[in-house]
Amino acid sequence: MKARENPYRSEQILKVRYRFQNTTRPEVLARLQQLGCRAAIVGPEGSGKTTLLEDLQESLTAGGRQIHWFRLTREFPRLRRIQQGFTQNDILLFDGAEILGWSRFQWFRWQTRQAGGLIITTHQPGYLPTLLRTETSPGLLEEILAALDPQAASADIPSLFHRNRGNLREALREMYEIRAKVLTASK
Amino acid sequence: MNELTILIDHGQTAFTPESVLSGVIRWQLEVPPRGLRLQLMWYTSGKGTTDIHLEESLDFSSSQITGSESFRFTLPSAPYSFSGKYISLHWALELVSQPGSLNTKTEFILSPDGKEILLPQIQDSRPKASFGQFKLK
Repeated sequence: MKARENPYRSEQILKVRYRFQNTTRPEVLARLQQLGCRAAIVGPEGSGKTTLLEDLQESLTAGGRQIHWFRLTREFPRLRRIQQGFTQNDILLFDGAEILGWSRFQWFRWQTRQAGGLIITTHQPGYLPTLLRTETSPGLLEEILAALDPQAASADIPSLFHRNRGNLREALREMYEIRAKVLTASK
Repeated sequence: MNELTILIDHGQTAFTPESVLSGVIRWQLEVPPRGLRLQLMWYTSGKGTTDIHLEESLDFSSSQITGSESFRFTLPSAPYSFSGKYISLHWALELVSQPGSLNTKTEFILSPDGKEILLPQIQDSRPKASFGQFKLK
């Protein structure tokens, strides 16, 4: 019953970091360099794009770069005023860039062209060269569930994965509900 | 080895509103701190976004690598510690050494009877949609 005991509470979910599939962090960072630090993380909803962007931030700040975040969602689709005077030391991380629309995004690129890097997340390719395509699988979901919840082994993970169309965020939200019911029933 | 400790007097873990919470902090650090901060706070956890509220803080300006200090807070009248299906509210003391991110936290209950309030499960009483003589169950 208690929200604090639910293994899928939000602060636990936020601790789940991006798990590289078929590549490694150094390889992704090397590719980012090859692309002139202007690239897109492309993938469907709930596949880890934002998590990966946050994780890349750590590697980029370790190199002494200044990070600037831009975040757009369907609920908050308006971009705040863009500061002027970015330099090569500035890296812009833009989550949900495609919500701007293609033409407005081109304007954004022009406005921020002096920055040393621009990394975005989108559902579709075509905004910037693709750095990485994020993908999910029942195996990845199983791995994440096992890390969060020792009792998750009894869950029907393939069904959970397909019911949520591969969206891991939604699958974890569903698991919150399932565990809340179990906890309630056990009281 | 870095170590931060919060010891609440008498090992008390539950308090009533407006009562006094006192104790001692201890630290043993590898490098002298610029200071230490003890924060009285509450935060939420559950399905939604975490909300954090800093109620009060005490700064200790010691630059000794090891030491202890006593503290005392008068707790506010609310909010009470509670838990439901979707949200829990926790009270905590957090000790942070500055600079750096070394910290420790200890939780306690704040409520009139010293027990965490458990919210009852609410049954969904919204009427089910119906179409003509057919009713969705």
